Amino acid sequence: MKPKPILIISIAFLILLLVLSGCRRLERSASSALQTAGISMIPEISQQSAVSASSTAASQTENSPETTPADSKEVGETLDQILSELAGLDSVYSQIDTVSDSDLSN
Amino acid sequence: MKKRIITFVLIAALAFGLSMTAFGLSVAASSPTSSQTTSVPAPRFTEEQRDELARLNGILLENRAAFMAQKSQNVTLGNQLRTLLREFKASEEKNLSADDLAALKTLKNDLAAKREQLKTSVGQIKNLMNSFKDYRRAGDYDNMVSTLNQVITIQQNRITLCAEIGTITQQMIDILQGA
Repeated sequence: MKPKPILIISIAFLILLLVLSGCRRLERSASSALQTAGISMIPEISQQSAVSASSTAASQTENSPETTPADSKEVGETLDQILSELAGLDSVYSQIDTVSDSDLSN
Repeated sequence: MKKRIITFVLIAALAFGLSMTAFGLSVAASSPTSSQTTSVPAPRFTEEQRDELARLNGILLENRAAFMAQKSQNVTLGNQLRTLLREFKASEEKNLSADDLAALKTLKNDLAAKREQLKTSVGQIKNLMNSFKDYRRAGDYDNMVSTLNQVITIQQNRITLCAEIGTITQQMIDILQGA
């Protein structure tokens, strides 16, 4: 009589393990089928690290040079240099020689 | 005998008068006060040579007009850029992204290079046209044509440089307006 409860518990535990392993297999096959269909699944524990890595990458993308503001001092220096270039251009334009009408007349 | 002498004197006087008249007409035709102001050279060139010189003169004038138009456009763009730069510097809210700043720096370096190339050509046309006038005085047709072709090349290079400068200026304006 005494071994019966232990036996029942053991059998129940084994059944529980079998059920759990069966569920995992079902999840994996379902997720692979859905991924091929382009639908995202709730990740398993093993996939959570990949998700966290991709979210980290996304946050890194948000901080990429495309949207990172430039150093204001550097911006000011560059703008000053451009202004200087424009002044230099004006000077060259004023010095540029062209063909005059008197050059072409007899 | 007297009649012969008188006849001879009359004929000599007539010949002298005719020669003086012919000389006077030729002097009047070549005087600076003549109404002829076209670019056609002296009659010492053939008609084909005069046509070629006139053709080259036409190209010189067209290029001069094209350069002046491009330069005027560049000056306008330059003033627009200058205004934007000053507004940007004065504004505390506006700022550039790192990418925009890098693009502006590249454009600034391109602009400096083009300006330097343009500056190098200053004075070249004046020197060549002085040489042209010397060759023209000497009636040296081949060197006249060669000199005009060199001037045309310089003009075309300047027009190209100015067009590129205009493009660079516009790109800078676009970056600042988009910031």
